[in-house]
Amino acid sequence: MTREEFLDAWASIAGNPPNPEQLAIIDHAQGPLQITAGPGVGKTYALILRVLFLLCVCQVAPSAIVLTTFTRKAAEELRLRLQEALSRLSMKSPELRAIDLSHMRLGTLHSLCWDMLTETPGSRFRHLQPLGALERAFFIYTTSSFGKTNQSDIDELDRQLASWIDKKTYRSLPSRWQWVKLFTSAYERLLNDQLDCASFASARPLYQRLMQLVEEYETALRQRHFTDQTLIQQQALELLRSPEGNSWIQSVQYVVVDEYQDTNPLQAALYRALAAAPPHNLCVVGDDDQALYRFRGGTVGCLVHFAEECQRAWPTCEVRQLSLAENYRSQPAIVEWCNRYISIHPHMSLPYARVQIAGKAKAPLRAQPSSYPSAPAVVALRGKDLKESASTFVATVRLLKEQGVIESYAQCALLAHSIKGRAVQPYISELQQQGIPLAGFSSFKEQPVYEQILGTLFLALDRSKNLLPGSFAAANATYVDECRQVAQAEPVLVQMARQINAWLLTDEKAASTMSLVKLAQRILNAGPCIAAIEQDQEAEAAVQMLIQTLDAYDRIVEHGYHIPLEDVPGGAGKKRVAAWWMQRLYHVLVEGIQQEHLERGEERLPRRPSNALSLLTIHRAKGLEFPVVAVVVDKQNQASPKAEHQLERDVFSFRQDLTGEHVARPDLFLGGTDEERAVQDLVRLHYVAYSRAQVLLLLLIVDEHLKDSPPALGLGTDAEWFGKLIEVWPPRQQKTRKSKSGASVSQEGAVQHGFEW
Amino acid sequence: MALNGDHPALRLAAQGVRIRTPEKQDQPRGRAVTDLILFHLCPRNAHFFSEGRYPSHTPPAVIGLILHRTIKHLHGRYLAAQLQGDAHWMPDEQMVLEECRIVEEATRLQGLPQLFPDQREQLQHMLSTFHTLEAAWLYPRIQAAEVPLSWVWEQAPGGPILLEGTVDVVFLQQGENGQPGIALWDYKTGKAPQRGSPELRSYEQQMKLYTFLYRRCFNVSPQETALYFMRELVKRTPLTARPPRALYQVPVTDDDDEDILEWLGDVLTKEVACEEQNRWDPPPPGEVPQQTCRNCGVQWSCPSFKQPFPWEPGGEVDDTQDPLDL
Repeated sequence: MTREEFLDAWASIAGNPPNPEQLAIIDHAQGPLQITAGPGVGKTYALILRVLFLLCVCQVAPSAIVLTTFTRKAAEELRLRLQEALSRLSMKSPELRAIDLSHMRLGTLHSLCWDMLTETPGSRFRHLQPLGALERAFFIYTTSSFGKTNQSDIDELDRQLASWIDKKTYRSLPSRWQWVKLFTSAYERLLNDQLDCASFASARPLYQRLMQLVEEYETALRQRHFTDQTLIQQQALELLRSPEGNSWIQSVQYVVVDEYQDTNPLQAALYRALAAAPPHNLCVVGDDDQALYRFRGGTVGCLVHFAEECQRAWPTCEVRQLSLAENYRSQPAIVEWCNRYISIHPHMSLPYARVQIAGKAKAPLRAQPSSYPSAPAVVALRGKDLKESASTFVATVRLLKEQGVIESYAQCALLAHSIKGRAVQPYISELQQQGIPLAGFSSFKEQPVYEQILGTLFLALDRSKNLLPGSFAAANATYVDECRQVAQAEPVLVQMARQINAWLLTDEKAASTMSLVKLAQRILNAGPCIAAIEQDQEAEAAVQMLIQTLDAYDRIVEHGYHIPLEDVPGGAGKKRVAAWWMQRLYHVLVEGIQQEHLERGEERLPRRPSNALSLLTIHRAKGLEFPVVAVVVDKQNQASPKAEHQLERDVFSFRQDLTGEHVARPDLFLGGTDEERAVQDLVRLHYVAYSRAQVLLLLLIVDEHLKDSPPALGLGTDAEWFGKLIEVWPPRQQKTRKSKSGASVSQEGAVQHGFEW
Repeated sequence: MALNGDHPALRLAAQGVRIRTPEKQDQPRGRAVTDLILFHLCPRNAHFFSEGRYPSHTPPAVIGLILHRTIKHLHGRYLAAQLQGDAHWMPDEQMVLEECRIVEEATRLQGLPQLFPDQREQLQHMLSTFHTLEAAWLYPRIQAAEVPLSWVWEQAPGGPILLEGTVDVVFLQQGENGQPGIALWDYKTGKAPQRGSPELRSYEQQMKLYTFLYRRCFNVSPQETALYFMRELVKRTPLTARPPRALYQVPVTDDDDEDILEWLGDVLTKEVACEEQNRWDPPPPGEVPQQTCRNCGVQWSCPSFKQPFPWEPGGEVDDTQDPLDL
């Protein structure tokens, strides 16, 4: 197929031909390519176009193309869209039917690495099982020696270690679940940042202790035939750098990476290793302004320094930089707001804070003409306090529906940094009070059906609640009580719990073959539970999460399936569930659930059509768009440096992927000091939130925000543009003063829709 | 809060802004052959199963897992040896048993239920007998193992679907006419079901769909499509030849395409209706294979199966049933 034939066929199947920016991407012949793609610019469209062009016109074999993206869901979507487009092109050109996309390496980087490690028959990795997030949490909890010793000097070191990682001063050791979280982020940072472990360990006793814990973790993984998602990547990189990896490198001709802004140095090294064969066809697509995952080890610097790092790795190659800036998503006023917001803050102008193209600042987004040029598009909904702001917001949403501007509340999303924070609660309460359906607002553990099943388990296994550990925290005991009470409110569940208890204690086969997950699977069939699951998607998702949690607990913590029994002390041969087993369950499982260390997963958008307004964290909203987006501007969320910023800088000098010149100036290379990077992260987070809006963007603020200028509002040092670009609703009361005659007169400077500065 | 004509929502309305929910996008839905087969048998079971709500870690399911993993590794090692120029590599009995031991040990350490000695013995027996009877002629003909197949059906009811499946092994076969052709086999852990039983009909449909997909993907019609029932190899006396019931040939021809599309269309139409109404009713009693119901996570609330809870009178712990091995 020729280029022209391809473009003709594409225009007829896609309905619109590629724009000049997209054409430049497909016409890039060879060598490294960096595509900066802002929000709503048709990035997925461009990726699909590029890959299909390689397959159909350049006749590259599918197996020679690697295409990775950030989540399994995104990879699945990309695969379906590619398959669909190819299928349609094949109707125009039947010879394209010979292209078999199942041979293409399309998935997350983790899945690609796993394939690399296990595809080689006889590979030592072939019997390993990668731990999922839940399983990993249980595994670290049960295997780490952290805090298990009584030696005071060791405890002292552990305390310091926790303080260093978490940036808090611990007087005693943090809770074990807190430690799991700390260790996980430190472990990922050590591997992701490609540290020289030997020199790191020898630098301070603290670091040596951490490396001991790392070694202990990796040994435990090996012993149980498990591996870790981050470790898989490290091992894949080692494979690619060994002679064994050569066949992989030779078989890959094109590497295309989506969401490169959230990549880390380990992943960047992996991609360069895959594209090691000339002419180094490594194409990365991303937007530094939408980098959100520093806390998971993502390093926006990988995108900012991409060209420089390619040239260091392959001195003779030239890196092409292209950008997609034609925005197809949002009204012009929203695009204008986003452009101003991201560029006005001084911290975003620091060297290496943002990508530069050919030494210049990247081009702003360009909007499409609007059909409603004078309709309001960006509005700050204000109130004197959170309650009033919430009331204004809910009235606005209701009015949009009543007036027929929106057809359904599902066209609106309420976004916040955290959906459990104090700043969001008034909005949730107001929406509920006003009867506006809301999806995604409660955590799984608060779903009644979740508590019913868990409560029935507690009633069945510890009937009189006398196996609760003595050292159990009050909050955890309260949660156990809450679950028991919810179950006790249903006579069917109470009876079921009694029957299970009697059955386990009297039928030998019962306790030896049952497990937590098996019992829970049966309990969910009880009338009240199954009815909730069948009718309510939130309940369905919560039960799914509970079952996965219990399954991971059974396999990782209990190593299998049975419920141990013991004689009741002084009970004349009466049996009960073994106290040690039950206490472990309370400690490990209940504490994990109660402290929400076990809630993971991708976004929970409704599968079926719904009329509910979506409440989402900004992280979960990434990649989505809504006609109406309201963003909670949280004053509490000050941009102070967090543990991830300190960790990133503290380990910086041990990075093996940098030159001495870079290592000497961490703040310059990283894009700023810890404080400056914290502000940049907050600005990026809100940029992502604001750019989700298609027609109307609502900023939910309280009056004091306008005085305090939190970074989320982007007031920066130049506040005037804020009032000019967006309107504030309701307009502030015009300040009045009494004239000598006693009549009220307006004070100069008050404005109706803009804001008075 | 008092509203007036200046409210942004009123001004949007006054300007004629009406945001409509976009038509359903044409992006295909991914559908696995095995999910569709299960849905065809019982929508309720398939809906709950496909949501991953209940992990199936019964001993028979673990046996199936170990068996498939062991064979996959051995087939893979053979193919790699060919690529590396070792044309004579062939797994002997010791290799087969060692691979099986490592796979079993890994699953046990990973927390899956441990096999009882008699289950382990049966598993080893199946694997070693299979290799004794089949390896010498089968391995040299293997073209690929665990072959992914997929095809987009644009006109599917409810919008396009991407139909996907993975066939266990593809090998070269000498056809009746003397011409070489392609054969597809799928390994099943259990015994061969009775002719005409719903289990066998499901397996047959599965193989017809794989054959259909293979033709779509490679533009080649397989000469043979068969199911290999491993538990038929477990006999008291050593076997010198394959028992007749171990291999079941599924008759498939190019002419079946129309029937397959009709079957797919019916299943997808029913699926779309269930999704729209959020109702996943099971078929009437007796229409679903017992083993499917016995391995179902929602059997105790099923209006058709009506199984008492294991702690109720008449209830039992039964985790010895072979699951439907799709």
